[in-house]
Amino acid sequence: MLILAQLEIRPSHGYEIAQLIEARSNGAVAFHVASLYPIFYRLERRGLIAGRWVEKSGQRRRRYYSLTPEGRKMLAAQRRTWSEFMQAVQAAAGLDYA
Amino acid sequence: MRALRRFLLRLSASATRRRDEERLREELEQHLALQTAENLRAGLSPLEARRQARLKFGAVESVREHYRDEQGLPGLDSLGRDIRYGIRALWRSPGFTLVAVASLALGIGANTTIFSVANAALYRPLPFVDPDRLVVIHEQNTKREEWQRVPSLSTIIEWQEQARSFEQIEGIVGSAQGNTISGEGTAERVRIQFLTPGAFSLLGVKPARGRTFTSEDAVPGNRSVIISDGLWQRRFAADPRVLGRTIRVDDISWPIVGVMPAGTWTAPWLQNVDMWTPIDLRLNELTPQTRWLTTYARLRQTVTLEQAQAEMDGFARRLAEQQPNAYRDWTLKVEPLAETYARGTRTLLYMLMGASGFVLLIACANVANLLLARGTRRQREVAVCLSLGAGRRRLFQQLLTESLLLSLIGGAVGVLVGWGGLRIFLAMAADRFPRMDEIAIAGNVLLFTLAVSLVTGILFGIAPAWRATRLTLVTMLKEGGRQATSGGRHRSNRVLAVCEVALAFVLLVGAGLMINSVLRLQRVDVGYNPENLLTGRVQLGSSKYVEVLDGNMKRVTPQTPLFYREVKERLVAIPGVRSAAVASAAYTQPLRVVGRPDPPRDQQPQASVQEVGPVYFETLGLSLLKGRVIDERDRDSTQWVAVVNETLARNIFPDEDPLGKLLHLQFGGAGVGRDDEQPRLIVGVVGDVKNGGPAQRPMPAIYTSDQQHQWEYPSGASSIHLQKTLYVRTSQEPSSLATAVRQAVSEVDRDQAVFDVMPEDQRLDLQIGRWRFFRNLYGIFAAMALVLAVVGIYGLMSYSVAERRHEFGIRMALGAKRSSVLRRVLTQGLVLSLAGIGIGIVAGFALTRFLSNLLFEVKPLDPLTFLAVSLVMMAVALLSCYVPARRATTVDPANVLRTE
Repeated sequence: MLILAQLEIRPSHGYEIAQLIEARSNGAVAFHVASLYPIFYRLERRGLIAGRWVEKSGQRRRRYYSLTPEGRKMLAAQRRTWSEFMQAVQAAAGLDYA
Repeated sequence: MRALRRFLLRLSASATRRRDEERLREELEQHLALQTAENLRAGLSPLEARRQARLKFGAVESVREHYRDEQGLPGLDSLGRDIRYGIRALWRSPGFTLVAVASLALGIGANTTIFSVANAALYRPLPFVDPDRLVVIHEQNTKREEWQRVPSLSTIIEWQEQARSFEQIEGIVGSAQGNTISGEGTAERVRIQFLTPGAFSLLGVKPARGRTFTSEDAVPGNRSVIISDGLWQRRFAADPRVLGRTIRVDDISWPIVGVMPAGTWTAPWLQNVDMWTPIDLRLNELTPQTRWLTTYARLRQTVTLEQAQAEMDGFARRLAEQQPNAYRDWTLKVEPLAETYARGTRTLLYMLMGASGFVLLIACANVANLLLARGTRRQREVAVCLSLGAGRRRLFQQLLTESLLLSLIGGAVGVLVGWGGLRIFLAMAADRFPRMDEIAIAGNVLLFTLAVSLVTGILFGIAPAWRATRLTLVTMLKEGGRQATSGGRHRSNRVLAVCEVALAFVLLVGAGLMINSVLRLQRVDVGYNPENLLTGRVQLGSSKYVEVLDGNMKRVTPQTPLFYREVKERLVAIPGVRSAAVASAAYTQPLRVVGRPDPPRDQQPQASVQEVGPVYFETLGLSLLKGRVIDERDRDSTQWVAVVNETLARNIFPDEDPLGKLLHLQFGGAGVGRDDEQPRLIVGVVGDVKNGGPAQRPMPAIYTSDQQHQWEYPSGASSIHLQKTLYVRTSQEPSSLATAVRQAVSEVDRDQAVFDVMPEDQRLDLQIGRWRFFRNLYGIFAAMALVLAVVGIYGLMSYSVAERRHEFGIRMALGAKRSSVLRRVLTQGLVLSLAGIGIGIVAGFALTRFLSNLLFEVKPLDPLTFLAVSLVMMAVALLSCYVPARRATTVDPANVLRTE
């Protein structure tokens, strides 16, 4: 869900996605970056994201990933699920959102 | 379902795995580069920037491995790796690989060759429609399994009318009859097969042109023929308008109603039939008791073989009640057609498969020995792998994969060897096996080769692989890095070598027995002089030479002896001919000795009777033992005479002189036939003659004058006058006069053909062809086995010497002479060989009895053969040990001690 969410606005490459996740979570979500890439390929095979090589002058080619329509649907569904889960946890633990 | 989906995903990922791995590598590198650049911008040193980037990145290799494991199929992946590793390992040891592949190729190739023959002869479906429902019904003797006979015509008719288990029953004669065709073109001898009109439709065989037979075609006087493709091409130049033309057989013109496709046959031993003609069981001129046709039937769809057999058992009981004498000890048997056709060849082919199987086992033992030795040299490598965490199962799989790779390569080369072997086999075998033109390496045979390769790989690979993975690094280190071999490992090598020697011994004994047989056959005195003797046969058939009378009798016309007299005169006039004689075919007839009480029917003596002219005995060079031979004095008006052979004299007149005795020949069968017109006086005794070939046991024979015979005979017996053999003694190479002989016959009557024209020594050679063929084939197998066994012993001794180099060095350092080292090694080799020979002798005693029908005057346990082969094996084993033994004596003790 984290990866799909970063690709919602615009296509990005792997390094950028890793930076975005770290930045947006204020460092709370930490992971070994190398493990990100097999996830990209899994998502690609499932048709949720699409990758393409982009070569800009003065740069090595990079693989940009973008969200597919199925990916958008999956993201929406995942957000709903997480939201319901969080509400349930909140209710059960007596947490209060400010 | 999910598991299947996962499997299919992994399978598809296997296909693109290389591309994905490359992509992963590129992206990971790029990510690292970007992170490093950011760290540099943050002010870190290049080294520190890279280090921090890697730390943040995580364990790259672990991720790649994990990703690799997620993709593809782990089993396939590891197999692929093992195969690549195995190829590299084999490539690094070219000598070992070459010897192993060559051994396996020989063994697998030999089996491929023999299986190709067995596949065509035994396993390929018969070329008929729904062949599994075709059966043969024959009469089976209940006391002797090999005694079978065909039913009488009346019995077949009864089955056609009453049997419920079969949708169709037909009769086909199991042999082809020779007849002369004439008319357009030269007279030609052809082979004609008789069958009932529905026989072709029963088998599902259709003519390529025209139609099959109908019942009208079988009416005597209205008979038609279907010709073979070969005859159509040869005699009619493949004329598309051949249908409706006639073909003259003897005097009768038969219309051609069909042409069969090339390669048509009704039985595998009748592949060169030229014509087929129908007979109606009810309308033919034979008696109802005649036994002539084999009964073919097609089971109904809903009837099993057992049910059909049960019905025929009922018929057998009725026959036994109606004809108790004829059917005492006889019953009926329903047999699948494929089984009937395979029966004669099955045993022979199984014997050949056994021999080729032995060769393969020896090859496997060789390769197993090589692998065991190689395993010893790779001990350190294996021990290190085990210590680094490689699983034993994984290593075992890797080593076994290497063996399988070796066997598959050996199998691939074996297909080539098999192909070459098949060419040699077909050249040697002539038409000795059925369906020879269908023998090829394809389909089933390739599958067989693959299966044999895999089984072979497992057979010779499993023990060495298992042994190799039993080691530990601790054991290795304790033994100081020496290639220490346990007694157990050496024992395995020795056992394998002993087995090789034993197997090779058995094959050599088989070949030796057959060589002995052929030598004896070649030395047999056939009773006459076959050198410079040309023979040919003539069969007269037209009404010019024989008249058909009532009551199933025929009369030979005066034209018949006139024809043969003129032919003989022309033969003698050919330059290069020293003498010529004409003799009838030999016919077995019952006889009665005048003045003796008639014996019971089943004990009436029989003899082979031949009518000969005066110069017959001189032309053939028969030895006269007593009295005189047939000569010009013996005419129709004088006392009819006979000359007998020594076997008849011994059997019928054991305690008396046969000269002066009178005997009657009979026609029409023992006890029911009629006597010859006059009794014959025995005037001479000659030596036995083996007309049927050197292997023939001499039977009682009588020679009568061709001037002293009756003129009317029961139908078949008239052939004694109509079919004769021409004997031409030449003063030059006989085959050079073949054309002149043919011409001499043609000049007397152009409608008659002489066939089987051949030098007599060539004919004798052909008659022992069967023994010679099996001698050659077993000889080839035995030679292969011997070569493999020699390689095996040599390899084992070389390996043993290399292993014991240290020991020999110490011995010589302590004062042992080089000659004693040599003796020690040779003794070791000799002991192994003797053990192998001992086992081989026991195995030979058990197995050579299966060769008994291929032997001539040689017992399967012939002691001389066993002794000779033992000596040969010992000599060969000693020779193969000699080089390694010499190498052992060249060990330098100083060098050995220095290494220690």
